Formats: sequence, structure tokens, C-alpha cells
Amino acid sequence: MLKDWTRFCDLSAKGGTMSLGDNPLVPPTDTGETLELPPSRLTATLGFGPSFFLREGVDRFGIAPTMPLHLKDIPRMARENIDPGISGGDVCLQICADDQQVAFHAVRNLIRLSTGRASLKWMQEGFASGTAGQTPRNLFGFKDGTANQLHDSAQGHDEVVWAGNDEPSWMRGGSYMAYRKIQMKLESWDRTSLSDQEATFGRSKVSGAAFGAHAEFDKVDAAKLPERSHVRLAKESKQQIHRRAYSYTDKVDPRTGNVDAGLLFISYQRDPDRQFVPMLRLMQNNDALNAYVSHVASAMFACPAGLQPGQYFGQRILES
Amino acid sequence: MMKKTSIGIVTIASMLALSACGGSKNDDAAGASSSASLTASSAAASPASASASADGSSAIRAGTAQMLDQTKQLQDLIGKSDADGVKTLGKTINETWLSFENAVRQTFPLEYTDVEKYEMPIFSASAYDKVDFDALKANASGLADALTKLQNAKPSTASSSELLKEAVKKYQQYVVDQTNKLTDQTQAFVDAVKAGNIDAAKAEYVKARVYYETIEPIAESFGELDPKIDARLADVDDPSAWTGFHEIEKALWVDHSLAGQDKYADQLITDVKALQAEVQKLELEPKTVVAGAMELLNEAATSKITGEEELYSHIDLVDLAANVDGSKTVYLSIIPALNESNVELADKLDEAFQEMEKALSGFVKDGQYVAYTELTTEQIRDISDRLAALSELMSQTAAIL
Repeated sequence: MLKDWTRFCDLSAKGGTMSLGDNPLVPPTDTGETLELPPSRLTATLGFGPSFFLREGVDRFGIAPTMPLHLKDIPRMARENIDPGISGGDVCLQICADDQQVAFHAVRNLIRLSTGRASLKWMQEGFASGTAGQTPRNLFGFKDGTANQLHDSAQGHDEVVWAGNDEPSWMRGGSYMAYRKIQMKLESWDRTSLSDQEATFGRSKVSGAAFGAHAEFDKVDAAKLPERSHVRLAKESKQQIHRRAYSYTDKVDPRTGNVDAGLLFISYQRDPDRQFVPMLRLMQNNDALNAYVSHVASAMFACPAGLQPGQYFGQRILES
Repeated sequence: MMKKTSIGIVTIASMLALSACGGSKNDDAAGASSSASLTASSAAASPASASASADGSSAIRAGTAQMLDQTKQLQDLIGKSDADGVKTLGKTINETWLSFENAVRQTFPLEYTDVEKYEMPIFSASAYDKVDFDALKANASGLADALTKLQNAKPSTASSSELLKEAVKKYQQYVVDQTNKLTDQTQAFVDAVKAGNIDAAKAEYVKARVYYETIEPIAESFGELDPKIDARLADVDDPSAWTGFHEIEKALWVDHSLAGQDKYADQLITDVKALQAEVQKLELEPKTVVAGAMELLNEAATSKITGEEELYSHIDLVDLAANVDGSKTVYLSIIPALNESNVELADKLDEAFQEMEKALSGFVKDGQYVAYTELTTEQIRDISDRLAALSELMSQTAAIL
């Protein structure tokens, strides 16, 4: 399956499709909805969950010794409301493209290629929008990921994102993907005064500047931020993570008429035990934002380093 | 009173995505994102299979002799009504068969089909809590005959078009047999309904459904008859014109009364007999046969797996197993043709059917499939995943045409 996936991803990233008309008696190999569409910067990121290596103590694929050092499910947090049905999993695929039809075409055909070999546990669609060179905003209207700029260099990425030489060889240069689906109570938020909204984050809504600063990327003085504000807590954790969030929208809650929408928090880091989990715990216990959000899904995956030509996803794990 | 307005918001996702491609800060930050998480299934251990080479024929000889021996022992145990004994031996026989069946399938496809036909129910029965000795006795004797034929078999020299013709003929005979059984069984059902015996009618209903579901696509090819026999309430335009099995099913399981059902019972047996008459005249094409196998699995994967087919009696698993069985019959009859063009596909289908049947046999209690309503979401999902794998393979079989 991983070989088929790799071949398919190679093909689609170049804008190709699988065969559509080789034999009229059998179903077309490709589903066809991207014919005439450009590759739209399609990317595929693959990650392996803890259960891929060990599920309830069972090493199904004989690979437990190659388990990365920090790969485990995110522990229970206060105030979370996790639905196990949309959390975790053995393998995760994150498919991104500038065109949703291109992204979904890849998702759909990857699912088809997994038939009989893997079983689809959950699927989540999201979107992100921004102007080149500017930090994208989340559905609360605030900039999300300002601090990525702090490690925006090769050395910075080595320190924050890429897994190090203490890891099994396949994981070196890879990264841990932390995922939280965070429902945002948009209706309550939209009835909150601007000053309260800004105090909740600790930043100006329009400029993105932290309290006590003038511009978005000015140095933040945590002491000048409201005590339980989101940014202050992030700074107090003294850790950096690489944030790559998306927003999502879904159904209407028939009881309240509220829209189910929120943030697909995704962060990449080299050591979630040090960088991510303590930060999350600090937030879950203290963050003023908790009044407006609820974490409903959770997962941690280990994403191997990028492939060399001719390699397939997971090869260095399965053939180690 | 407050006026309520409901608002539907349509978001065109690709538009959102396009607006994203203005290029966010990171060069690979993308507009539309979709994460899919999957649970891997561990590879099923497949038994070592003998290849159809020169050792193939000696493996077949040795395997057949051993299996014949075991079948005779099984007949002894059946004679003694030894339930535990037959269950254990049923599993052993299956292991023996698995050790050389691939070689048989490739060399003696016609004989293979016969062995498979009798072997599988014996193995399935080993997983049941109750042993039906009468059924087992018939299968054991059928298996002994099939193995004896296999011992004396000569490799087929027929061309692939002859093989396909043979396959269609064989399948056509199956359809005729099933329709005859359907007619007899429907008669028994109708008699019970008209006698006002609810319990008997329920029992006969389950038995009759099996025969219909094994040949459903064929029945559906006779335009008018299928809706008259098999329509669900949701399928019909005018509920007052609803007839057939499911109308009486509702009377039995929901209304608990057979009052006024005589006319539906009469109509049902009339329609089933009309179907029987049509089937006798049937001239099947290879294309129809192969497409039918796919339709059966699609039926199972859409209306049965959701519990919509048997809305009142909840015997959806009975129908589902019958759909799978009907589909497998097609697979078994096209094996000779499949061997010619795609042996690997035959191997995979064989394994997928075995996995499916093994999974289904786990849901038999007191000799009957459990009600759909007793299944957990995880159990339904497991069956559905297996069906998907099987369907994916089956969708490739038409390449033999």
C-alpha cells in the first residue's frame, strides 16, 4: 500500500493521473476529476501513529524497535472533550493543495488504493487563506503562527522542527506532527467586545502586535500581557513549535443553531515531550481562550524525513 | 410568535482554496487541506500454497488422498453425532485444503469448484455453536464424491472461449436450481401465512429470502417482477400498491398480524412462479454473469450493510451472506477463464472470499445469523471493509471477457 501511495503521490504532484480508459469492462483506475487541472502545489505528508509500532502491546509489523523516541498519544488534558472516533490512527496522510478538488482527488484515490489493506478511520477537511509574507488569520480573526518567524532559518528549523540524531535513523530529519481539532464557539466570540477579545489573546486584533509592542513581530514582553492570555502562556512555556494551522467549518448544531467550526491545530516539532505537551498542558489549565474553545480530537504522528528518488513511504521502517 | 427563518449557507470550498493560493508565507503552505487517518490491517497469514508446477501434481495427489481420508473420518463422526469431533475435523480438513487448493484451482478448475462448494460449508459449520448434522452429512458425502472425481481428473485442454461458455452454462444451471428452491420455499412461506401461523411464517420467510438474494441481479433483469416481489416500502411510489416479501415481513414483525395478508401471499407465489418460468427460458451472456457478481456485492455493500433491506425482521446478515454466496458462485464458475488471464486475481479473490466467509460465520448463533440490530458499529464496519476489499477485486474480473 505504501508503495502504491508513493507512486500515486509522485504522479499527482506532477499533475498526472492514473489510467482512465484502458479497458471499458473494468472500472477506470483513476477517478478522473483532476483531468485538465494543474497540480496546484499538491503535497502529501505521511505520518505514523504510536499504534503503528505497538497496538495494545502487540507489534503487528515487527517494527517496534524502530519506534521514535517521543512518539506517543498526547496525554489526557484538562477540559478536553476528545472523541476517540476522530482521533489517532496508525497512519496519517495530510494532503494539501491550492485547489480543494485536487486535494480531495488525491485523498479519494489514496483511500481506494488502501482498500483491503487499511481502513479509513477519520477524515477532516480544512482551509487556510493568507497574503504572501503575512501571517494567516484564524476564524477568531487573529493572526495564527506569528512566532514561526522566530525560527525561520535553516538553523532555526533544525532546533525546532527536525528530529535529531538520537532518533532511529529513518526519523532523523523527520518531524512530529501534533494534531488537535479545536472547536471554536464563534457565536459567543462574536458577541465579545474587541477589548476582551484582544485581552484573551494578548495581541491587537488588527496589527497582531502583542500588548506593549507596536508591530506584530516586535519582541514580546510577557509581563505586559494579561496573565491568562494565550500569547503570554505560550511565551511562558519558553518553547517553540512550528505552527501550520487550518480552519474548518461543518454542520449546524440543531439544538443551538450554532455552527460547528474551528481550528485544525497542527504543529511540527522535534520533541513533543519537551516542546508541545507542556505548552498544551499550560494552556488547557490556564488559557483565557478556553472559554471559547473545546478540543474535540487529538493525535500524534511521526513523519519520516523526505524521500529520496526511488524510495517509498515508510521503506526505512519496514525494511530496517 | 417569533418568525423563524432557516438559513442554509453554501460554502464553495474550492473558492476558499483558490483564494488561498495567493501564496502564504511558507512556500508549501497550501490552501485546501485534508487529513485522512487510516488504521492499517495486519496482513492475513496466508497458507503456503503449492505452485502448479511439476510438484503441483504430486501435491494435489497427496493432498487429495489425505483430504479424502479425513472426509471419511468426518462421515464416521457425523454418524456418531460427535459435535466437538466434527468441528475440530472441519478445521483440519480446511487446513489440508488450503495447503494445496491453489494448485488444484490452476490445474483442475472444474473439479476445484466442486470441492470448494462442499468444503466451505463444512469449515463454516466448525465455527457454529450448533451442528446441523443433516446438512453436514450431505456436504460430507458431496465432498467425498468431489474428491474422488479430483483424484481421477485430467487437466483441461479446452480453449478459453470454451471455458467461458462452460462457465456460463454452469452458472445458468445454478440460477435455475436456486429459482426452483425459491419457488418451493416461497410456497412453504405462503402456506404458513395463509394458515395464519406467524411463527412458522417467520421461519419460512428467512429460508425463502436466501434463495432470492443469491440470484438477485438475475431477478432484477425481469423488469416488473423484482419490484413486485422484493420492493421495500421506501421504494414504491404508491404505498397502497406495495406487494411482495417485505410487505408480509412488516405484517409479521411489526403488525404481528396476518389479517388481510392472503392476497399478498397469493400474489407473491404467482410472481415467484412467473420468475421461475422466465428463468427456465434464460439465455445468459458471460458479460451478464460477471456483472451480476459485482451487482450482488454492491447490493450487500449498500442496502444490506446498512440494515435497510430487512427493516422489520433485521435478518440483513442472511441476505448479505446470500449475496456473497451468489457472487462466489460466479467466481467459482469463471475460475477456468480467470486462470487463463489472471491467476493472481483468482488467488486474491479466493483469499478474500475465505476471509469474508470466516468473518460471517462468527455471527451465527443457534444455526442462524444474528439480527442486524445486535451488531456493533465496529462489527458492521469490519464486514463492510471486507466487502469493499472483495468488491474491489471482483470489479477487475470483467477483464477476462
